[in-house]
Amino acid sequence: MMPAKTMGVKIKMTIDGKEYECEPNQTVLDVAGANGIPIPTLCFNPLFASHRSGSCRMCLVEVVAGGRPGLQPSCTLPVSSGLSVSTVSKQVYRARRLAVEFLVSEHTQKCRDCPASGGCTLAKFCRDYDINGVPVCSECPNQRESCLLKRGVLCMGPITYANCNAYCTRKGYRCEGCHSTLVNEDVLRFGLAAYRDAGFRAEDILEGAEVFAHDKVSILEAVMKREGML
Amino acid sequence: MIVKTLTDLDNVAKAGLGRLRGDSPQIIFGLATCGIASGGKALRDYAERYLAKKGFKADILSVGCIGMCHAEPLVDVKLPGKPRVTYSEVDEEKLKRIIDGHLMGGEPVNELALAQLSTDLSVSEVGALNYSAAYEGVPRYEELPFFSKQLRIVLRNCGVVEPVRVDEYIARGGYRSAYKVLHEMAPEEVIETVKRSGLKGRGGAGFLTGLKWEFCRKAPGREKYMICNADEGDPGAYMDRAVLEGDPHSVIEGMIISAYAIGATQGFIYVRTEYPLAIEHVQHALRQAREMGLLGENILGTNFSYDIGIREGAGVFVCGEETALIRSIEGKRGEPRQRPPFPATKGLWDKPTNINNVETLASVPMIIQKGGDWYASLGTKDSKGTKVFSLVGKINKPGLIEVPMGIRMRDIIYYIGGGIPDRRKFKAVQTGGPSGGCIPLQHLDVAIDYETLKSLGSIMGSGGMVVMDEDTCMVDVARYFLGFTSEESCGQCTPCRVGTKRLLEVLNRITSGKGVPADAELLKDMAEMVRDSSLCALGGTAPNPILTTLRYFMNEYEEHIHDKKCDASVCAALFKAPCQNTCPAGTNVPGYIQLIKDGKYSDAYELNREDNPFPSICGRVCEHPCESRCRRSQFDSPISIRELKRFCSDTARLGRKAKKPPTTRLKKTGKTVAIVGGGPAGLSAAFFLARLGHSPTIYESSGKLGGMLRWGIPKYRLPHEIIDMEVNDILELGVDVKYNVSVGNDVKLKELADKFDAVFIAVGAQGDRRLGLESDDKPGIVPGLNLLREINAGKVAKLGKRLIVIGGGNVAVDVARSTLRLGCEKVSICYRREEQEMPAYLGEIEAAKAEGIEFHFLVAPEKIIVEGDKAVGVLFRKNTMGDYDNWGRRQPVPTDETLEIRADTIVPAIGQDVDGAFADGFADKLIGKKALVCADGDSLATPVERIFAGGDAVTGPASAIEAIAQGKGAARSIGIALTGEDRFLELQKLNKIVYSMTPPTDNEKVMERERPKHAPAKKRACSFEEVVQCMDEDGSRREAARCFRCDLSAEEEGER
Repeated sequence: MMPAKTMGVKIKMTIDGKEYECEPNQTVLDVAGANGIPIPTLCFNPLFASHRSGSCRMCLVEVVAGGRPGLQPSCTLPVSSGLSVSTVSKQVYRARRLAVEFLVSEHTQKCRDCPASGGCTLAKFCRDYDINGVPVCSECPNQRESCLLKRGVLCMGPITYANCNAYCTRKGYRCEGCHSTLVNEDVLRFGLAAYRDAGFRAEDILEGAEVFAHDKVSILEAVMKREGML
Repeated sequence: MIVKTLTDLDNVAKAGLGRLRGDSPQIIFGLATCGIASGGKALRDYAERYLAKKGFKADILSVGCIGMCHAEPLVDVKLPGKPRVTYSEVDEEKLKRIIDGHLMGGEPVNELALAQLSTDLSVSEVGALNYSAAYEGVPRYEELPFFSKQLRIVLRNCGVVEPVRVDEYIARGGYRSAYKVLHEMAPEEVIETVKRSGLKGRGGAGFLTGLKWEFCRKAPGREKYMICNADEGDPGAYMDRAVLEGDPHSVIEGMIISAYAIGATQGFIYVRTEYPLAIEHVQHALRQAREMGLLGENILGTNFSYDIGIREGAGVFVCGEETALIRSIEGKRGEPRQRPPFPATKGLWDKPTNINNVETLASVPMIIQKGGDWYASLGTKDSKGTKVFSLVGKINKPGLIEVPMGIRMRDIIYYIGGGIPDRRKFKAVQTGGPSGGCIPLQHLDVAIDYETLKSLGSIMGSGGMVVMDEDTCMVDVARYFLGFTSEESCGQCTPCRVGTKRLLEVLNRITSGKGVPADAELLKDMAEMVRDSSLCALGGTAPNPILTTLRYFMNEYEEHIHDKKCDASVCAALFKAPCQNTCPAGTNVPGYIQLIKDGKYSDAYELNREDNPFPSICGRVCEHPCESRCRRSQFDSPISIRELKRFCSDTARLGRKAKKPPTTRLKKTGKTVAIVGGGPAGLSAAFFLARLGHSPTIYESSGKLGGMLRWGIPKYRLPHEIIDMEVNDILELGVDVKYNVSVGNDVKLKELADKFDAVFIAVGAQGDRRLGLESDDKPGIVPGLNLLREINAGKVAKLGKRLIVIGGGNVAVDVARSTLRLGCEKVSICYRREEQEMPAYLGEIEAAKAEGIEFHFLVAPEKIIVEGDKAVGVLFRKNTMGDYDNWGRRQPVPTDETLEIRADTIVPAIGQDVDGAFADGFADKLIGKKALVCADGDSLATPVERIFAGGDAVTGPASAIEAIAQGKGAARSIGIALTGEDRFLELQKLNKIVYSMTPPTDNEKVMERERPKHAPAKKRACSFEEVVQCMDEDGSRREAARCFRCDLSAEEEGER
């Protein structure tokens, strides 16, 4: 695509204040990847690298100089001499966080049936961008039949904040809820539904939550009331 | 025939010009989609039949849209050598007269004629239609305000030529620019000319067209495409449709020029399939152009080849975005893609592609004809040329207009558009459709161009302009547009797909009364991020309606969120019926109308009295804002709410079956409140305070209660017996009154504050404003309110035979009518503006005229003529009408002319001020701006603890119902301050009046409102007997039955 004479000529661009050498037909995402600068992606698939839709908006970077200022998806943003972008600016963080929040807001939260089986990218983003949106189940590899709830164990995973990589369940124990109870009502509702399906008593759930989430139990109680469990 | 040379073009032009000049009589129909929709086609058929019957030979022509949507259907008549005359709002009856009188008779039917086209509206010199002989008595087009500020470049041929005839287009200078470009100019020269013109893409983004062409020209590749974007999707925008329907060749010529400039060989017109007539006309035009060698191989005898195909879009909003449009043409799903690469390098089938909007392309031939510099001389520094707008919404003359860039919004709305209908107040104008924003009142004077609109948070967009008046709820507007964009979002990128949905959810929450305080901030945050992080312009601009309404109408959001109120009566969940929502006192209008319908007049009176202690008084003098919002007015005419109120009051309190109304009240609290002033606000506060169980004491400076109701309103409008009756009803609740005690003089405010638990100040605004001229206090000058007070007290002053009143408010009219009754022979009202701008009630003005009051408009007092030591007349300066102000009123501008009027008595009635004597000791804290009393808008609390204030003293002179509402509000917040709880709800619970909740089923037929009888003008002009009579029982019940009971349907909607 590029005129032949510019092929092979290295150009310089700046990412987060540091200059990098790159090929003229690369995108900012390529350059960042080659230099170990983390940029989150969801819709980008390295196997189909030629198809870049730029639709998930996770890889947004902020153009600081050398281009139209503002947020641009790095997967489609071609490098050019003098281009300077930031991958860590406040705008970038806000935009990525909002993208994850939006995705979570559409998410069904059926973590216990999810084929990702503990390797959930969305859960990772929720951790990275401080979104209280997913329970420990998203990190737990025990799916479906091996789920502790199915085995009659009152695991606190469905109503506990993710961010521990499901340490206990991976070791074969139940989640004790030491990360405290979620406050996101939508997610709590899904967790409570799981308990209800498995036939656990509301008092036992509250008792389990009491251990670590003493200050948030009132929230849990309120949601349980609204859900008709109390 | 194949056109190759200029001579060929001239030959074609001859035929076209013959047709345009009209060598035989012509009758011309505006048959664009708008004309057809309003019945133009049926009229054309009728004309054909009628002419055939009469055996008269005339050409019957169909043209496009001239832009006057408000005057459709339009019919023009043109006789040989004579100008074309336009007739508006034609029906068969009128058409017959037009054909008989003008087409066959030879002279225009002046009373039906709208305008004559004697000079061409277009800027093109070639083929201009100018006639020396113009008809007498028919205004010229350029004299119509609608056209006076227009400049027609894009619309040069619309409504003038027949769109199906290429010879007419050529006669108007068409294809000469293409000829010039192909034969005489290098592609680079063409680009240079367009660049110099400063033309920006009219599709919305406003990118420089010349630059866009240059990028595409410079992009490597032999195969290139030139595409016309006619996918017009904004609700309420129809610029492109009008051009394609009315003048398709101008777009084709623009495309040829552009294709030549960038080196394209193939082109497409992407037009939405909802535009069947546009598609038909374009197809026809393309066929003609190919037949004449204007498209295809070797255009105009050169070796340049280019052809155009039509691609019909399925009406998807996002396909207006260029990358989505390209995918749609490619046969793929119409979704935008991330740019870069831009279409200029990688577009249709990955080949360099240039896409321009219809309007942009239609401007190009004129730029080539008259030069880039000419175009650049129009408009503002950064935005050149003209822009077509579709002016719609709450405006008197909606239509399609083309104006130079830089014109003021005020000019468009008030001069071209004729202002807001029904004396409503302008609120905002929405530009740029769902991607645009709302521009409020305070920015009406900005020069419209791309840059200013952007700085105001809106965009130019494709040119939709929706005018909104006070009946529009801005939160609802944002909700409407977000509903549109969330539906139209293609769903590719996260912020737009999910974000618009989440934004819409929050807006839905707010408009249904479930908003929470954090919502405004949440909306702003989310909207900004959606704007900044979306993939294409749809998501990038979708939050604009939210962001601009948040920026300019935050108060409305707060009202919805905190007070759960929608002042515009739009958000159905937040009010019961618009009448009740609009009444300052919140009177249950649908309830008492239902009771009247059912014959329960005492109940109706009592229900009224729940919210307003003065039903009989308001039934006579209320300015009834409720009626202006009555839903029935959209059907035939509003319910006569005030007259119904009067009917039930008179029947329940004055008639044979009259009885004292029972009053619900709460247990005594033992709290005492002093009320300063016994006017409507003070009395209303006393009424509600007493009912809440408190013990109010009124301090009244005169010997009688009623305030402005008694002293400021003449007896022929409001008999004093009525005031006495309703005031006594209040006093019987246990209200103490200290007559003839003036607070500030006889007793100090400090003493009251010490003695009582709370004080409510309702002193009104009763000081007459002086004229501010030299010797404006000489004998012979009597201030208006002062005079009214004397007349009402029965102390008739000596006035003489000739009297003039200066001013245009209710006091002025009351004075004039009263003095006439006292025997003045000639009474004149002199007002500095025009009649429609008088603040006095319309009914009062009409009654005054009927009684023989003389009116002088557009005169402002300049000097008082003094003889001896007495004022004997006034020298007035005559005014003319200047610019429109923010209320849509034209500002008076002095002229050289003067008018001298001599009189025995001169009465200035130009407004009132608050007398601040009461505030002795607290003046610095209580008296604020414009000498009004300071009080919080909601709680009516003043900066001094336990002192509240309301009524005219706080608001300035206002209506009785507003003062009553303020008294009610004060009672409520004083109650909260004294007892710590809102006992109003308890009071409301005591109300046991029930009325039918079954919606009426049989009143959906047109039925004009009942009107009360007036005493004959001659008889009443010499007596103080009441002028307006009470409606009779049959009429009242008939009128009550007209009510739609929209409070019931609103409840259903709210639940939904």
